[in-house]
Amino acid sequence: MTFEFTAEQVLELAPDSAAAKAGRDLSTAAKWKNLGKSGDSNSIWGHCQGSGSSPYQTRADLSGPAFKCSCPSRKFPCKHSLALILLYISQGSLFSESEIPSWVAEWLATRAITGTRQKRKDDVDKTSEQLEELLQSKDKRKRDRLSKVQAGIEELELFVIDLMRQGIGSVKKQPFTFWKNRAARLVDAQAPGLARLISECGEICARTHDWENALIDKLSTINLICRTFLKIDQLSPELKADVLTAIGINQSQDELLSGAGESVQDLWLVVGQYNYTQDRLRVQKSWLWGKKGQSALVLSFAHGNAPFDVMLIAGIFYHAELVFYQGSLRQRALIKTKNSEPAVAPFLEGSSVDRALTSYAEALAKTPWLDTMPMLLQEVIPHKSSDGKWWLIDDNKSALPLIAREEIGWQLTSYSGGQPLSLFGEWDGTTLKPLSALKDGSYLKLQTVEV
Amino acid sequence: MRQAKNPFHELIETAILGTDRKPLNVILSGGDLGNTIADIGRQELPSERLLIDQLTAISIAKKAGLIPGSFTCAPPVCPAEIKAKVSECSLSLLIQVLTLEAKGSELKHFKIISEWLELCNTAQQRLPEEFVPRLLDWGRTLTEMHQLIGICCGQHFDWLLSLNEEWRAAYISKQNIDKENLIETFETGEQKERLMAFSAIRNTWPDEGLSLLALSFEKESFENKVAFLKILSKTLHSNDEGFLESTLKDRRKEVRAQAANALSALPNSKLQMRMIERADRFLTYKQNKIIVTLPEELDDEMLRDGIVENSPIYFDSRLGTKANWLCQILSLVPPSHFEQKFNLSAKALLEAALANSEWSLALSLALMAAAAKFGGAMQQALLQSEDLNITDSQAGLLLLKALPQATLENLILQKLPTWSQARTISKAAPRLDLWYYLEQVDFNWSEHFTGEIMKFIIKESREKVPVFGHTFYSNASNFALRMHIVAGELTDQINVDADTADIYRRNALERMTDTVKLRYEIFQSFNTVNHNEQKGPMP
Repeated sequence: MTFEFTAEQVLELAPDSAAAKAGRDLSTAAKWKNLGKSGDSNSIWGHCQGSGSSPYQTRADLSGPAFKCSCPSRKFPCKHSLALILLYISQGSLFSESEIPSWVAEWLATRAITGTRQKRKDDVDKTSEQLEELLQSKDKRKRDRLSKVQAGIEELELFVIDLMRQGIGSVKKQPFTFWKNRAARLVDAQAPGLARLISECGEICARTHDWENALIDKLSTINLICRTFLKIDQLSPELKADVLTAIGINQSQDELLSGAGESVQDLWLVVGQYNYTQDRLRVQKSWLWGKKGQSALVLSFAHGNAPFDVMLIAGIFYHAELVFYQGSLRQRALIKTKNSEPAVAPFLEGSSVDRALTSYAEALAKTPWLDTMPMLLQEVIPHKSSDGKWWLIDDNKSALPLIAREEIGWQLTSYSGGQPLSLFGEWDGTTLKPLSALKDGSYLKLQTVEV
Repeated sequence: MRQAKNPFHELIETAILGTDRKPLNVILSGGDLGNTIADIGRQELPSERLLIDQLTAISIAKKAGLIPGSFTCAPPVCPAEIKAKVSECSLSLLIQVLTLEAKGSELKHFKIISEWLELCNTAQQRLPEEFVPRLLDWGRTLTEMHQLIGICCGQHFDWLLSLNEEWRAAYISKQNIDKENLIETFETGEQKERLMAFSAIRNTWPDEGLSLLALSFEKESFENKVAFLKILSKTLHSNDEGFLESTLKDRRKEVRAQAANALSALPNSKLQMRMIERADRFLTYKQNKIIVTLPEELDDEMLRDGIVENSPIYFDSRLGTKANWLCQILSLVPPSHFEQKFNLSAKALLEAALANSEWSLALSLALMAAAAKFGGAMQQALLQSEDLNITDSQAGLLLLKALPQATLENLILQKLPTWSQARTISKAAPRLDLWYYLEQVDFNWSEHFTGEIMKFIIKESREKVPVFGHTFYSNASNFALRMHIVAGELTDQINVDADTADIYRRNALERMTDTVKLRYEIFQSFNTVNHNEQKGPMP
């Protein structure tokens, strides 16, 4: 059996705090019967007595992890699933190695079949005429969308020019609807990426400090994307993919998985992770770091209390095949296959502050509208300066500013004990948002505020 | 001479004001960025277009060319830890308690966390360093926990305090404060600080504490006066009598009552003598009975001595106002005085009091309050009397609260068989009495007592007799916190059956068992090698 999660990591999977609490409460031996495990299939199971007359059948595949429970809860994973794993973590000896019951075996078989079926979904035979027709309609849709985007961008350029004429000082007192309406027009023009940037302008204007420079930076990014898009036919395929992604035209996941994207098989550590809400959609941002030195961003989405479409746990190693989206930086990726791995010796090699900044400058040269870049800094010490700001200082006494709440700053300081550690975070060009720290083979996830 | 403006700032200024108000007129050259911007400026485009393009170039250059900060000195290094970290399981349980957010559960948090810290200390382990700041924040105002927190945080405690001024102020200054600082705090601090400072001064330098209070007393609010007198009462000396006597002249009855209460506890105080003198006028003994003469009026002297119009302690619809005054007077006289005066044993005195059917209630209430205050043989006599229901009155509850824990536990265990007679007692009410008694037993029930009470609860839960009642419902978590840890081994035997139990009873039993289980799990986590430790550390 390979399972190295901590209770805290498992509770990160809970859809809300109520489910996490209920899961904890249920994770006592008294609530469970017929507990068992199978090393071959990496699965555990048990019966939990709930409010119904018959006990709920709960099972989990630890390699995912994946869960299934017979309770009627709409939350996923339900409290019983969480409790089962928590109980396994705290009192593993209660789970005896035994033959897989039929209700677990059926579920495991269904999971295997579903995986195969998904792979075969696109292999449905079609006649060459049908395929031709499909391709043509797809091309037409693409052309239509691009012309809509072009119209939207031309209008946006006029808006930016107008802002320059009137001065950005004039928009400080504008209501949020000023930006919201403009963003809505971009959504209509099928450019959601630009719409998001415009909405962020509204948020910047609501700030009390340093809003001018931040707004100029944001408008510059918008300007750059717009100007690049208008020359899209002259761009390299990578830059073309970058600009389309920035505008919000996503690459087809099916196409990427079927060979359009570059695939990398490696041992990956989920080195940083946080959740946020965007347009009523929950988003989980997971940064992976491979043994070969490559980083990857996996985005996972969910509505309401639904589970994220990809389940990754921070601090866990996965043997996985990732498929990267097309682009100059090879940043965002999809997971094609994955299996969690037991603890392995840490292999992450970070860089110094100077080297990290140089890498960022190189990345900017390739994608000048780059939003954030992952940074793994090695041998750095967190420090609070006399003016109350947090910094990371490396061997050469070079320092990067951190954007961190007080409690995170002190947690990092305490974790380091004044000794160097490795720190992973997102660099936005001015500050580093710390997401995790690594020291002496241990991993510490830092809690970030939801954006 | 006017200093030339930085051309980059000029561009930003133009962006803020707009080209309508500040035409684009910046000449840049030199350096890669300057040349780039100059190149952009030479294009045949509208000035707004040039402006945004130039700003874009600056924006990217700013990001790409960021020069890192530089620090000449690094922060100090924390000394190496000696103790081992607590197990993953122990830590997870602590986090579980720290993240509980239910309102009104502060006491529960405090008790469980302090228990966790005690166990951590006994096991010679420490909190993992990454959780030390969280615990320091939690315990910032809990001065009584500071020492234990310090021990459990290992070397990181002192190290972090040296870096964080707020923690230093919270954790160190109050420990090492000297007399002058305490006096200054008493004179100039906030109300809570003043009370704490007075308590500290009074404990170490009782006479100086008294002088300080005497100096400021007149100017204090009546709430403060009562609070200071309460602190003074905890460490009474014969020297305090003069001051306390003077406070009997205060305008507020609450202050007078508190001062009288303190004075009555001073052996042979003038107030006690006055009360004895009064009581002797109202009580006589004839034909195995205590004969009562009620006070006619509440005179100025009585008012001065803290007697109030109607004390809530002796409130009973069967008692009038004058009987209430009598109760107040008698409660401030040691029962031993009447035992000597009438030459009776405590038991005989109680019987004589109860023999007066007209005033037996008033006398029993007064004797209970007096026995609570002065102790002595009357306590046992009252507890053993079958004619009294101690938990029926506030005076009775005061008596129970005043008993030493072992005495109270024994008393409850003696009564337990009576309460346990399931189904033979038609009315459940006498059985409900147990919870009123248990409310009075303070924290840290003994192991034997906990075991017996748990057996009683298990039996009751199985028999499904509805004897849990409101007092149990509202105290379920409290009882669970007071129990000995051995209770954790018995919780599984409690029947919390959803189909048969009523919802209130079920909730209360669940709250109790959950709390006991949590405490037991914490205890177990420090006493067993857990699953995670067997597997080795996390990556």
